[in-house]
Amino acid sequence: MHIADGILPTAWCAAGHAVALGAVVWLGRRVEPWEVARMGMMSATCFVVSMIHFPLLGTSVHLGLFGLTGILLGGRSFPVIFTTLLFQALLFQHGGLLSLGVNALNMGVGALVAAFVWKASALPDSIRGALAGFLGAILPALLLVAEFQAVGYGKGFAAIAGIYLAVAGVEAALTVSVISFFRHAKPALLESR
Amino acid sequence: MSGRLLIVEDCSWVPVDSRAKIVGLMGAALAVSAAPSVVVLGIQLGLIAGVLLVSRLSLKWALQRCALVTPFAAMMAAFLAFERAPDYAPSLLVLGKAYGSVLVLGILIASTSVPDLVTGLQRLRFPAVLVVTASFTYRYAQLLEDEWARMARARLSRSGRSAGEAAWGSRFAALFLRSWDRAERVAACMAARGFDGSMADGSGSAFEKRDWMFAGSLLLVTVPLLWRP
Repeated sequence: MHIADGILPTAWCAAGHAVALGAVVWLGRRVEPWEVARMGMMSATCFVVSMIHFPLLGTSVHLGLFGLTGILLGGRSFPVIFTTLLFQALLFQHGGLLSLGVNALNMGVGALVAAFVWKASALPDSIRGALAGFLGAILPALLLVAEFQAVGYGKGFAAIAGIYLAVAGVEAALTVSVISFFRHAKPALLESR
Repeated sequence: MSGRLLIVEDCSWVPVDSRAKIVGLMGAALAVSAAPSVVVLGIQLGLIAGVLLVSRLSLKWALQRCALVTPFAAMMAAFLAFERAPDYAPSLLVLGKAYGSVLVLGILIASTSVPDLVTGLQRLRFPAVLVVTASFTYRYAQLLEDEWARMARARLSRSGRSAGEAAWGSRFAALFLRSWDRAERVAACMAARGFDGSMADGSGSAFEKRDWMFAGSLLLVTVPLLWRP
């Protein structure tokens, strides 16, 4: 789901960086010292989890935990995802530095929507957790497909989004499982944002 | 176990300020991304190959970095080839730009430790929240790895076998909670020592002549962009 450098036009990358860095500053303003540790912890978790690849429908995918990040950190999830992607680009070539802004926007939007769904919905934990996990994974894929179509890579890429339906399903199941564990072991974690 | 996660090929051949590396190599990556034609891109890739030779990084290393990006770049190039046939230049451009950029990034990370990189970003006035989160990410990624290894040892010593896939959610949550608690304790200790949410800039070295020269020489990759056939 990461866009490598050279795939999108330079102007798109520049615009993506401008918007994403603006969002990082805005959503990371007045950060408290205790929040910094949580943000670093979440970023490290996303980074480590992203290194675990598993085969799916003939390709190799990994989890992103965008839904869970949104649930636990709310708006602060955006700077966290930007940082995670920076590390992935530098150390593992997952995405590029120039396309980092666009990648952060794609995945950050997923986390922010997940945060909204978790916070605004009065549904039971399992349902809103599943929704947040699913949307956190599928929205970035849909945005990516839309961007590729807009740039001129053709409509064939839409088929790839189908793979991410399965990934989103796994993310939803994992998010529900983790949320359920947190609800019993440390419920304050789910109410802190 | 500690630290294994983030070890990359060591290449301390560039004793220059990390800001010079970030600016120079980011500029080079940007220039490669902006290449308008296969010829210009070819010249730029030749210059990058020259930097690789000077850096004494192995060919195997370069091929491994390229292999990481190949599945995605090749897929995009294939889509473009179908879409724009019989004009295959856009496909070649996508492939070449992806490889050029990945090599430039590889040089950056091989010649700069992660803490130096974070310091460089800080001194280049990147958003403070980004710098401090990056610093904690580096620290906690290793903590997570240690915690995971500790849990795996405990599980094996209890039952002598690994848990089934159904337990992945609970295992992940347990790992996360243990690490989260440790992170909170670290934060509390840091707050007690006066941590206010921003990182102190420990290295106050000035930007020297060799730093300017290094960044400037890397930015030579932008020169072919001026060429018009």
